[in-house]
Amino acid sequence: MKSLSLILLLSTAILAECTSTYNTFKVDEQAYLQVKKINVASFKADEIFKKYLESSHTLLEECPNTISLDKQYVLKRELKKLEKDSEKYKVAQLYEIRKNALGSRDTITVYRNGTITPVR
Amino acid sequence: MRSLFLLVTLVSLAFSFECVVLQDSFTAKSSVYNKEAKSDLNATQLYKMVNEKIDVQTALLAYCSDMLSLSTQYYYIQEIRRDGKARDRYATLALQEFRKRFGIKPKVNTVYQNTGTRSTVGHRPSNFPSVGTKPMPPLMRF
Repeated sequence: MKSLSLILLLSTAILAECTSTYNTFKVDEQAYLQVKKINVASFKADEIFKKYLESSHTLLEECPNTISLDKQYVLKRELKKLEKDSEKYKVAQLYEIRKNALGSRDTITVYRNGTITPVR
Repeated sequence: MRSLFLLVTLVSLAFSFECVVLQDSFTAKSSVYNKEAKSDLNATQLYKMVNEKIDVQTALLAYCSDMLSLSTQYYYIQEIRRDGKARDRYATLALQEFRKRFGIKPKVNTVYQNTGTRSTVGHRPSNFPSVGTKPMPPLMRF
């Protein structure tokens, strides 16, 4: 009887954890869909994008049964695609612009007609 | 049952409080940026400010879209896109500002149009055309 109640308690705990993981995933997914709709890079968008990737991975690894097989397949495919363009929402920080300014020079092109000025 | 109801109420209150904080933060940042964008503030500062504004607005749309009407959401998205374009301009200007501050001079490329050769300033192309040469007229056929 004691072991049965222990198993019941454990399974309830696992179920509760999966519910919380699923809820986190849902919030992150909603946020990511908005970011996708806006389609403008920013520090926050990058953060939301990374959070979504992380929570999706957690859900697929720890609680795959909370979503249907169909959804799992779609999510896996989407994750593969998203990981390829992980820099999509990245924005240059000011120190990166400064570093770029120090490391490269601007180029100006001057057009001339190729005649020689006669020597006097 | 009572405690569960209390918990749900508390969580929803916390969420709405976060949204109110975000909304206030957005209003403050937006008014400061709109004021400074018209003044002669340097591009580095404007770049920083516009980034902060876009961040808050993105967070607002991502987490508190239920609080906003559809027209407000649309307006915010348009505003973010406009600010994104302005940010690109500020980034270019900030780059130029940094170059000016550190005294990095631009590299000048001279293109001699007659010969089509390229050279940097101080080096002339080796094959200059002679002065005053006219192009040959086309051959007449009888």
